Amino acid sequence: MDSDYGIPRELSDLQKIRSLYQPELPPCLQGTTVRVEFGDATTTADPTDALTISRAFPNTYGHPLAHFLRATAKVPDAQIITEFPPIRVGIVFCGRQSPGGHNVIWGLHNALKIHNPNSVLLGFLGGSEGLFAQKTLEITEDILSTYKNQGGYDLLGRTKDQIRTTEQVNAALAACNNLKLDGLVIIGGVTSNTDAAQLAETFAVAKCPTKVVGVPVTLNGDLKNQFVETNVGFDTICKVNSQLISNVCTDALSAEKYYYFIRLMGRKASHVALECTLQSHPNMVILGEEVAASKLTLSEIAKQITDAVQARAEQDKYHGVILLPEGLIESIPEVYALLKEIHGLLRQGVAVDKISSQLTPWASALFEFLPPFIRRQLLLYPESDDSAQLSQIETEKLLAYLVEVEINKRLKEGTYKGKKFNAICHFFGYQARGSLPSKFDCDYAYVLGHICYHILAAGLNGYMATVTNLKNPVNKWRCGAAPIASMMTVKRWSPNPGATSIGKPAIHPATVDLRGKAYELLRQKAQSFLMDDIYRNPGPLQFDGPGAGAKVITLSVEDQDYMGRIKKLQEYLEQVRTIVKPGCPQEVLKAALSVMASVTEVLAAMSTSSTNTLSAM
Amino acid sequence: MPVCVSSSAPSKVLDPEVAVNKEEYQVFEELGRGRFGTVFHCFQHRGLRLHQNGGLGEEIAKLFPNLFGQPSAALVLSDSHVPPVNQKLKISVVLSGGQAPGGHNVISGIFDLAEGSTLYGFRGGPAGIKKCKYVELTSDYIYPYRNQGGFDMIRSGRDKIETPEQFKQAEETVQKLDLEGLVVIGGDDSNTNACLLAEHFNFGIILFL
Repeated sequence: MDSDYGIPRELSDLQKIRSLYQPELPPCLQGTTVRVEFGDATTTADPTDALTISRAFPNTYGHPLAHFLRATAKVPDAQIITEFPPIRVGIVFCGRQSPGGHNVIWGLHNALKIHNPNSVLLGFLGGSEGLFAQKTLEITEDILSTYKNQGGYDLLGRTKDQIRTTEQVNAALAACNNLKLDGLVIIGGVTSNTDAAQLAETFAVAKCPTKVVGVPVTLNGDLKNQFVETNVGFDTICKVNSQLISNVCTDALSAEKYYYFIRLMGRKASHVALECTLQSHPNMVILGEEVAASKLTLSEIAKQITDAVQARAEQDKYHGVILLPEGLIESIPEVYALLKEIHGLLRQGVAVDKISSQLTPWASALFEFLPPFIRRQLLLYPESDDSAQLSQIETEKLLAYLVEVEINKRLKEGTYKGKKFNAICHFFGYQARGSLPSKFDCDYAYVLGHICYHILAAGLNGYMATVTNLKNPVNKWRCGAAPIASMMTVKRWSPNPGATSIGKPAIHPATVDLRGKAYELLRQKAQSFLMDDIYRNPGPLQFDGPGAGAKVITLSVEDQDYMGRIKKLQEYLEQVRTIVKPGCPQEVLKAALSVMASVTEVLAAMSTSSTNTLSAM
Repeated sequence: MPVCVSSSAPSKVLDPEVAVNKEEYQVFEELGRGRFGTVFHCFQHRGLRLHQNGGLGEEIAKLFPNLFGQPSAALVLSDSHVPPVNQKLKISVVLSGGQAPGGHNVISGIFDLAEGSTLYGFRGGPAGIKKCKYVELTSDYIYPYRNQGGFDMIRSGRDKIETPEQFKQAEETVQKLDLEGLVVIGGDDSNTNACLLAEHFNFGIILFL
């Protein structure tokens, strides 16, 4: 089985052309010198989490931001690295496959060889299990040749997506020591990067010389924070899905008699569903975050959809396309609580066929209400990240069934007078996940691979490679690194009323920001999408020509360049420090004090307000 | 029924079998002016018969006495420089059966060729023929559907036209619009129905695509 990894493959003409595409590097990564500027020590988004996180990560929390600089940058205190001894780096695919992952490996390999041809890149076969078992493949140019700009994770493969238990962490530590690794790069999403942070802390405590670096690769688009604008794979998944969705829209419009319920892969959050809606203009999307915020029940969601169907029927329209994120089912409070009970019983070893009789009365009532196919799916063992097996739960069929029931009820009552309701259900997940990566994902992943090298050259441990200003062309991208611990939050939850527990720090998946610009854009267009059938077909994924440079809307519409702004702020503070020195005129000093007092007061108030808002949510 | 773009016997014929009998062709009717010259409707003197499968041929001949035995048609390239002759026709198109990518371009192609003629589209497939629901196709109307998928330009449907009452309805529609041609776009079932229509009306040109 191991012999199947990294084998040369027979590529189609398109794959061959794609394998020859050479991504561009931003100026700050070009050449053979590493220039790094360190910013201030980092803090957490929620100040109340800082103490908990610093206790859990004493060696890796609070480290400064790293900015990588171009050759022409004039930064007086920049650290210039010109000597690059040969190093040995391990790389491992954690997390589910995501288009573009191969290019991270290519970028890192390219950077290693440019700076010292004697450096070695070892890929761990089969993901984290390969790491534990110390099964490696040395990456060479020959091996990479048929994997450049290609989809999937089959160069190295992946298995379980977890480096968490004491046994697992110890196995990873042993592997890095035995293989004499100077660096370990972990490619994955929120869970994998949380594990990377824990590993970095463990290595620091054990005085292991291996530096751990995380890379934000996940199709879900949920590893998003002030330092990370988007993830490798998200761009591709949304474009491919949007074409499939818009084809279904055209079919709906032509046939005029089917409602299509399409569930989209994307884990708990609804980033994929939101982006695909903005690209393809289906009639309706149910975001998990809206459901959670409004605490909607299953019946209320079904009613919402039925009301939409009825409104369209009154205009003699009996077709439509409705998008559902796969995480929707867990966003419904009553179903979430039911799932928690089921998973608790499963972990206690209760047999599947005995679970329904051991549920609490209200959970049992809900369970009995659900159709048999859904009951079986809710009984599946949870994923390694403790969520339900979202890809296997056919939420689209459940909702289509409930809508049909509701419409039949209204037909009997006489409140619905339209034609028969016909639903067709789809799950779009694996079809898009295996796609050739888009030009953006190829570029982004390759650049991240290079940044990994820069992080290791700078001797940083527990950092994630970051790029900001992504909505602009590659030559304007800002490359840097941020401590993974600074991206963490602490979720507080109470299993029982009155009891207080403090959760473990982790990178939690970012939810769709219901106050963000992308969501606002959806709200503005929702009524028109619903009634006017303004379906939009973006076409297949394009690698050349006018469509190749398209960026996802949720990236373009947001106003993001956090790292750039941090640098700008530091520059202003430095200017103030330069202008207001002992001996400066009294008027200058007074003006500076007055302005700084005002700014401090405003920022303190904002910080408190932000905290309260977060607590309220 | 071969179509050529020349006022004289075709000088170049695409189908070699037809070429052998080219002297048997003569101009029957001018169809209209297109981008590449005047389009003519040619007629062959002797009909083609199915000898090999006589039994089946006889059966089909009984069902379609007006249509059976017509020759195959080939589009030929014209070398002449005959000036175009204005021919204004009234033609309609109908989409029948399930949608297929490219259907819209059949309509676009007809529209572009039928310059100066009137082109209608029946809405909702054969049901539109029965109920005389149509839209006149203009450049502006067609524009958003060029090279686009689906059948939503004029919609489609699966109705059949087979009962005497249904044929009467269709006949009324054809008379009302004074149609000289009807284009049926669809699959096997749709084209079978088109053949029935052609036999029933015995008028103008019926094209099957």
